[in-house]
Amino acid sequence: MSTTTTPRDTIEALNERFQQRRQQVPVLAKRAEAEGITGIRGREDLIPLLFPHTTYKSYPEALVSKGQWAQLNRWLDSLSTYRVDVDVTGVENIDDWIARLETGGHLVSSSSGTSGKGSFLNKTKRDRETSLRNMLDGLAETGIRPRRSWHVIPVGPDTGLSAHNATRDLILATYSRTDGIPIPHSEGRKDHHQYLARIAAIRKAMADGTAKPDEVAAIEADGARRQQETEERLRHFAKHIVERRDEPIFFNSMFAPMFRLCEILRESGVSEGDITGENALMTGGGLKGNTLPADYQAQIFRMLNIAPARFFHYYSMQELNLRSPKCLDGRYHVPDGLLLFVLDPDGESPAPESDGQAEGRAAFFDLTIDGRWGGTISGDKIRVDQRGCPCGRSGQTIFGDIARYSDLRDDDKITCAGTIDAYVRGFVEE
Amino acid sequence: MSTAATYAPTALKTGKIRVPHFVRGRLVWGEDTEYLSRDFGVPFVTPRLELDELFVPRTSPGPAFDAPVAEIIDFLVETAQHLTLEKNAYLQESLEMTLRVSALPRRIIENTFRRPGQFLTREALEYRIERIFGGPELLDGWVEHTDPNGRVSRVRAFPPRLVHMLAGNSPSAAMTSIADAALVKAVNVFKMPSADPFTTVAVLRTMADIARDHPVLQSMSAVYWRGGDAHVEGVLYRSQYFDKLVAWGGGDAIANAARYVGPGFQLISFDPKVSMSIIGREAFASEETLREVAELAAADATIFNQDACVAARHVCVEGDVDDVDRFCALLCERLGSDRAFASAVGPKPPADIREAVDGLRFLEPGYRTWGDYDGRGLVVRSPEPVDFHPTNKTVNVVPVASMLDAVAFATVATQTVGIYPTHRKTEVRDRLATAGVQRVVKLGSAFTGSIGNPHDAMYPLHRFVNWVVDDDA
Repeated sequence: MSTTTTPRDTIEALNERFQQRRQQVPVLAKRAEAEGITGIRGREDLIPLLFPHTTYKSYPEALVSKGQWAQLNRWLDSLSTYRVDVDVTGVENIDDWIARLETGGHLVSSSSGTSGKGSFLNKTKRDRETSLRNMLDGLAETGIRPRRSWHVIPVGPDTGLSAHNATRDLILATYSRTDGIPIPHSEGRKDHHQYLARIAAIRKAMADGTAKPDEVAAIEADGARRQQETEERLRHFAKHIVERRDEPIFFNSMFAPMFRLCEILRESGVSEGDITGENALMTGGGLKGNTLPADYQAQIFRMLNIAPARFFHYYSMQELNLRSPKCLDGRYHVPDGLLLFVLDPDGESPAPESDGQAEGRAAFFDLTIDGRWGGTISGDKIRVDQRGCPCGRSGQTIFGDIARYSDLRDDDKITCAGTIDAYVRGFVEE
Repeated sequence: MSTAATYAPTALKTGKIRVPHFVRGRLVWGEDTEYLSRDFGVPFVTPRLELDELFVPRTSPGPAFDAPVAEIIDFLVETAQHLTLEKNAYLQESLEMTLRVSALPRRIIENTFRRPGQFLTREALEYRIERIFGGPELLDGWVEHTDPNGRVSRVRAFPPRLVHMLAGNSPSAAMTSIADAALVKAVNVFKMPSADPFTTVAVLRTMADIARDHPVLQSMSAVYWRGGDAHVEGVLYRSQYFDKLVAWGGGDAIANAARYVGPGFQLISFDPKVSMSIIGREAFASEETLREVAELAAADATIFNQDACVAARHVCVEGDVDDVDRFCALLCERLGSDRAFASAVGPKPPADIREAVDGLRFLEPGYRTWGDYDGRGLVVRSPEPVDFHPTNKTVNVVPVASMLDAVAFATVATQTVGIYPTHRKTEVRDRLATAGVQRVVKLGSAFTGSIGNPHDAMYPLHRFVNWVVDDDA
């Protein structure tokens, strides 16, 4: 598949999906009308209909801070396939709202940016099942067999989010030996979104000029305490890793906490080569703004004895159900069911292609998405090869060097017109 | 001025724009380094930077230190007479090059080149010196005072050594910056912006044709390097070379430069700002009045198609939602007309505005929108200021019960507040200033202003100079 040709049946499937979704997703109907698009006849017809990832945080922040949950329902509804008609009586905070929606079959997934304003994506049970199935398939394909013979370590902090819990529980049920390394007993935080909402609120109060110094001090102390909890969790795992140094451990983690775990091991006297179990790692995404040494992956692999053949590294995002797994040649392979677009930096038209390669903004259409319109424009800058991969497989591949456009700012832009953002310091979520 | 441009503005071989440097009276051409412009990524080439040449060392007095203010004013006034676009080949050349890199259309840039005239008359310059320094004496020499104890001292507003980081969103800023730097007799390096690396040199060339050896020109260099380039800034930004960094605007380049600020090297910061308007219920006196007020509000919101700190982005209106909605409809209509410094159809709003507004369209009646994303103008009415940054002729209207309620939306980032009716400025100005506001104007006048006033809560020339005392006590 190249950027210019897409099989006829795929186009037909896309058109069918579009015809169905524009009856269901109000924002899509409006967008299609504004663009004068009544049907999908080729890939390019889809481009103006892809939603930038920021669409899912386009609600006014005041709806959360003022607790206008019915209004927030209306906003979410405008981006949803199935109507959001959940009663919000008695909902007091954002975590309540998410829990309440879940009882109505809307599994709202969220993430937060550095501004603290979270995005909300309406997913269905089918979306979750598809995503989890895709994860297990990807692990199996990598060679990490679904046998209950592993110590399973979910490295990152316990968010208490139902999507995270579902992933963790499935991995434990599929891979964990019965006498596995204990996962720190946690009541399971119930206030993840509320905490992020608090950060967003203090940030806004600071911008408005109404934040009091003691409030700032309190939220900073809270952030430090959460950081400390995460650190203790890593120390707990480090202790058990050393005790079970020759038994296979399956890590599930982003790179930054994984690197910190290695630092803690090194600080407690462990050297490279001490850990000999044939360990595995699953990780999605990159560094999320964290700065690590250039050879961070090699350091992690050496310290924890992780071989490339036991490393499931994929590229995905919360807007997608499907993952693009990385091969041993370091490229992410775009799977069937996921259409990749490489757009110009503004996300408006296809990026130019030369010698079968293109560089630009990544955008996707995920045919498996049920709860929303499946087209998304990401914040990522990617390079793509249409001509297959040195690993021998054909199809589109994404090079390993993915960057975020927000990290690639023009540092020579000077203007007298500013925003309050330049005046507010701090308040970034954990 | 009959001097036609001796050099073609673009290099024939490369098709890239050639940007000359101006180094203490000398024009320097070269194609040693290539850069990209800010808005459209148009390539341009500059000569190699010769850092030693840019300014006289601290071991000797600046060339203009002893030039009398009166003579400098003569020179500036004569320069202003030649800064007429129709007659000035340098400005014409600069205009053509600016057009290739600027987001603004020709007509608006032409109007910008015409603008500084009113500030560069003899009366205006003398009045400013009078308002800020009480006359030229403090700049020209040592002014003696005797304190209540009978002790005698002399004070001089001594010429400073300045590096100016110019903002790129208005060519007229280059002209006023040169005049300011000349008036205080400073030793100057102008770091030109990538959005307009031409106008500063065009003005300096105009001055050089009048008096190439004038001490004021011997004190000025205008060059380009990429903002944040540690090879240049790490070397130059030292107290041994400069007293003050004059930063017009905000962005990573300024934040970067500010890292070099330390003992003896100060920051004079014209911070990045936002502006707003407050409209009283008097606007609804009649349909005709409401139309006039909508026109005034539109005039303030559209300055440089809203890419300027003085351009209003939020408008608070005293009234109920139905009345405010009538205002919004009229405002949206007025946003779509050509003005001296605005286009009827400007650049389209960025994607983040489109996304946010598309979301709000489903939240009526709490939120309501007028207009579209076509660059003609967009109005969003919301119960509190929106989360996104309104730009490209996007105005956020917030209904308020009383003018004082609008004060809550002014912050330390707010620069100018336009108020209707004018007499009600007194009601809110102290409260606005308390919140951080620095300028209160009548609605529709954000871009005009009286001469000799503070800017960004300071008298810049007063901050530029080094206040030095010779004390007999």
